[in-house]
Amino acid sequence: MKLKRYAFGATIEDRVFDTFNALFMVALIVVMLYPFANMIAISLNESLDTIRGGISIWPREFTTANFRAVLSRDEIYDAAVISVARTLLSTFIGVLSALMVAYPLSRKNFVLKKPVSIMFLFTMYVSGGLIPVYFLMRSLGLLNNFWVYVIPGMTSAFNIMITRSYISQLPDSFVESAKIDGAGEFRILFTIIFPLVLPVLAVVALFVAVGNWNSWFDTFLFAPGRQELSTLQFELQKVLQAASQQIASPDFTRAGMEAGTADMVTPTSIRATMTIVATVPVLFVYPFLQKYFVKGLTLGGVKG
Amino acid sequence: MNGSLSATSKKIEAVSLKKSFVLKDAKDFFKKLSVQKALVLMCAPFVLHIIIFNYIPIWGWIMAFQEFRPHLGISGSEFVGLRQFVTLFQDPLFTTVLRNTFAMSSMNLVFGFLSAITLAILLNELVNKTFKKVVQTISYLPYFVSWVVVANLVISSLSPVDGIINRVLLATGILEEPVLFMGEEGYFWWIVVFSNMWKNVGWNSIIYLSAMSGIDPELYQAANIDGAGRLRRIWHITIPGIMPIVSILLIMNLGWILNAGFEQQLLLTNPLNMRVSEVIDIYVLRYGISMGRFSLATAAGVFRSVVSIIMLLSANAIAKKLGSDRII
Amino acid sequence: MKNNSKIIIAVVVVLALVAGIWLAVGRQPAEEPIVQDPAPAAPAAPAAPAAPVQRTYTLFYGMTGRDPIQLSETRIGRLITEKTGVTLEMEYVVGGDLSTRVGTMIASGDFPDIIWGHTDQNRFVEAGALLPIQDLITDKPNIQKAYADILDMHKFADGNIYFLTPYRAEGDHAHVSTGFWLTKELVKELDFPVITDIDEYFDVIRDYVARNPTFNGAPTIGFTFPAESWRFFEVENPPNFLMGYPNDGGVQVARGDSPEDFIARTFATSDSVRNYFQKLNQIWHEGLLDREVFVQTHDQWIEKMSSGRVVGLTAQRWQFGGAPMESLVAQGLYDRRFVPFQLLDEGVPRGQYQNAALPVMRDGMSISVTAEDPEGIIQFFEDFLSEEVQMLYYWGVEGEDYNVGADGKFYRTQEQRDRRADPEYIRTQGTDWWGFPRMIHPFADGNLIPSLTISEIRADYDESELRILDGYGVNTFPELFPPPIPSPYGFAWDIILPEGSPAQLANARIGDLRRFHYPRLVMAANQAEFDAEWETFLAAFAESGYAEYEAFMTNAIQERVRNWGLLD
Repeated sequence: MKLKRYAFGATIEDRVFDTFNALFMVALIVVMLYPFANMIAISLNESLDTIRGGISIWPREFTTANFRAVLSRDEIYDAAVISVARTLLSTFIGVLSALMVAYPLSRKNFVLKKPVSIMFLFTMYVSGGLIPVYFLMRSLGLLNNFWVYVIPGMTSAFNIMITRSYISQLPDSFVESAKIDGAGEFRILFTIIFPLVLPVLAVVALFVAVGNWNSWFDTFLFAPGRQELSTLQFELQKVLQAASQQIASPDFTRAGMEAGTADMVTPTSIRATMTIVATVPVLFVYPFLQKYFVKGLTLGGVKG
Repeated sequence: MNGSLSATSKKIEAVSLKKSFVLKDAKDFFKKLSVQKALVLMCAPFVLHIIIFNYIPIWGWIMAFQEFRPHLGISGSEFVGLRQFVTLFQDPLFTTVLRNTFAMSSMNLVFGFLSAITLAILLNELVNKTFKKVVQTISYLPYFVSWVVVANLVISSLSPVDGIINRVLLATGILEEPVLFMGEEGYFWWIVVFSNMWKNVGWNSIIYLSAMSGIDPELYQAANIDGAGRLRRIWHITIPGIMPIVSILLIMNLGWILNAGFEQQLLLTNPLNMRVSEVIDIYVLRYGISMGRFSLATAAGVFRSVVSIIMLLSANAIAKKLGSDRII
Repeated sequence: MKNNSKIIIAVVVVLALVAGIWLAVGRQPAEEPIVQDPAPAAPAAPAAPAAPVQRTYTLFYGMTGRDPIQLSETRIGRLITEKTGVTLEMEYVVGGDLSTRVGTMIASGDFPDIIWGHTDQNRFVEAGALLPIQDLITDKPNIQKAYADILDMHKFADGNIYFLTPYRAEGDHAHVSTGFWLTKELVKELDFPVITDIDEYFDVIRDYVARNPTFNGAPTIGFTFPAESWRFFEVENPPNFLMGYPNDGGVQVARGDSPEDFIARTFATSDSVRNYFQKLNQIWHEGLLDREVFVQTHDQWIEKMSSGRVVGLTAQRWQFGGAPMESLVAQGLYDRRFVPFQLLDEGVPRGQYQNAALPVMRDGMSISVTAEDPEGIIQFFEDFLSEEVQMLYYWGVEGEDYNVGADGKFYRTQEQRDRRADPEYIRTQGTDWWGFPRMIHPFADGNLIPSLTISEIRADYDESELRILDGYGVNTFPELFPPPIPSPYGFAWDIILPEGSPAQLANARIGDLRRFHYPRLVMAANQAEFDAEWETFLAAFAESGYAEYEAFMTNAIQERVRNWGLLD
């Protein structure tokens, strides 16, 4: 939002406000970042040393063992591919579906506006429960099938509602003038509305993408047996589980000593490493979406 | 004779008039439908989608009126009417749990909204673009940290022995003795609210930032020319500019009032705060699913859905009265 | 307009509901178990030297917290496949919760061939999902031999056997199961004392802490125990042991000469319990009890245990025997590890802390009713229990996993032993087949399984542990205490409470009450508060329906005593 801010001279109010704002943000960074820095430190610290406590933002006994434990399994890479595939697919469909439902619902004279709105809204508060959903997936052949990651999650009432709100705020003149020119609804949607609502679509894309990237419960319920359908988060859960292994075998003889049993990795360290592994990709992708939240729309075209 | 005939014929006329009005309404409806068929086509596939994936499974609600046994299925399980609901409401633990859920949810709502909006506004006002991007990115990092990790952090920073909170409070003289925060019922809800805020404020502010970027820059320039200061510009332009989305989100969140979370409370719960920390989802897990009492669990779910719908419709009606954006 | 909306919505919802119900009702799982085919397709082959039939079975591995590896792909797994012809496709419970997965499995009727339901095994039984196997195993010598003495104990009320338990009766001979522990340093200082009185125990701690208020710069912790969520039994159990009873979960069982003499009673409100918490309250006020004991996460508790600051604790050994002890070793703090003690109330002759050498009859590997080849699966179990495969299971491959001494006895080198504790090694080699049927009797050549081989047990101890054992003049830790008394009903804690039953409900309520009141007793500000809290607890307990729970347990225990025929 590049305004001619200081064209009329920066007022004292401005300066004071900006200073306090900047200080506040610095404090915010510290508070938000500290736990994350702590995670990084733990992930780079020897497991058995971490559980003594006292690690803050710097590793005491540096090691790459935790990352090796998490990333050394081949299954993780195939799973990552599945995760990327489902994320891309679901995001594309999610944005499309939000747009295609929100637009009609934003038209005040749409004859089905009320019933359709209500039907979508209720889905956010009403659910049949786990067992009926499981049955449905089974009947539709979606169990142990890649499409269980994409098809059931195609619509999100929440995303539709925020998109609709955004579309509703666009001046009517846009659509009206297009209609006068004889454009059909689909054309209007994709050539006029779409470019104008990019900010909210970026948000929808972000929500859908992150939701897909982080999910593992659907793998757990609907595709637990098929290794080739495993997702990144599910594989990470497996690693965590392996580390939490309660050794129950009666044959378990206690570990050797000074030699240091090959770096024993504890759940604490695995969790920290998992957090880093799962978040870093998001940090890479986010800046691309961020530009939509920062720049302002030029609506000058209509005024003129 | 003539009189009654004319009365009857008037009645017949009246009825046929009404009929024709109804027919006319129906005809109008279908006519409009055909005119707007593009719009209908746009949303139709997705309406079909939710019918399949969201509405068909609702048959599961029948379980709430049965004594459901998984291997007997719906057709084999005994029908018991409202007995599950009665059991639910007669359990004093359920009412306690309801209270806890409601309390934490409301507090989360208020603080969550205020903090997210404030953060969005402040971020929006940052001058340096790079600084803004960096801060904004960092602000949502906690959203990705799992609750297990966050709970550990929260509990250790509240430790009476070496937790940072106690140390600061002792050093500044506010406290004379360390306080076992996690052991006091009075603090629990605040602990939940603040840890929630920390974890979610950055992520929740994203939608408001996106809404703010849609505000016409010329409005700001005009206000500037009129001599409005920073705070006045925020109050008169930024805030009204995001009001529609705030309203919508508020209404939707009010519908979720009985969903106060689960993992968070599960991890922060301990014997000393259990009376105020257990929420509906924990109750359903412990007394419903883990004990194989699926019907009870379903009944709780049905109850929650009903309350949600009522809250949603009420919030919507209030919004209508206040003239803000509505959702229906 | 409004009317239209309502009509449309109503029509849609009704149609959806109808469709849903139609779908649901039309998809009930098969209710009849597959009837046993009296004339099996393949002739019952005698021990044929021909190669075993190659086949694959799906297996549901219900125990959580295990490394989810495909055992058939490991080194040992491949060898086992060679010998049995069976490849396993294993499904684990990863990330989510067992009950949820079992619930969907049962509701849908989709079962894998082999099921190990672990703590939810009973739900499969109740759902009719498991095949009775008693008739299939009558002519299988390996199974009969391996499970000789306990086959009858597997029988359910309907006379069927549904699974083969992996929890055998070899007992724990290497280490003590649970107790009150003291740091080695203190024990050495006191020259290997024998302490059985709880007051003396706390005196000793008090004295030590007074002399050593800090350790490595941080305050010493006099006494602690795990208390977080499901570990709360560590708060509930000590009084039971103090009273001289074994671990029977929530009850104490009176015994006698005939089944009717066995009566189960809850002990949650007994005087011993009151006294125990009174003492804890006392050390709480003295600052000897870990101040965060009831609020910390398990991770934080582990941190304390790994720091060497803890002087005394009460817990089952597995709670801290793994990573924390490893960490201390890695830090060179050998003597900050722990020595067990069995404390007893006045007048109690002996303790029953140590788990008796008994099998647990709660769960095991079973065959589902939808399995296509139950005969083949039983044959797999039979082959798995052959000496050859059991050798692989327990000892491994000669030369690589173990060696044979001149006297014919098996042993492992230190290196071989160390390797077996490395999680990565376990993953790739497949040395851990916990859950599968197993035998505990000696091998034909006289060698025993590792956990019963004294030389292996002793070799596993490190120097400082050996010094402790020498100090007390014993070979292994369990020898410090009298041997456990056998029980004609096994362990009462593995008795399953039927779902939704009054007993189960009462048990849940009792659990909640103890969880609520015990910590408040420990932290009571003064005697008056303590007494009031105790009274409140008693009153609430009276309303909990405990009598239902006691009645159910008594009945179940008496059934076991009758059916298992171990009473003599």
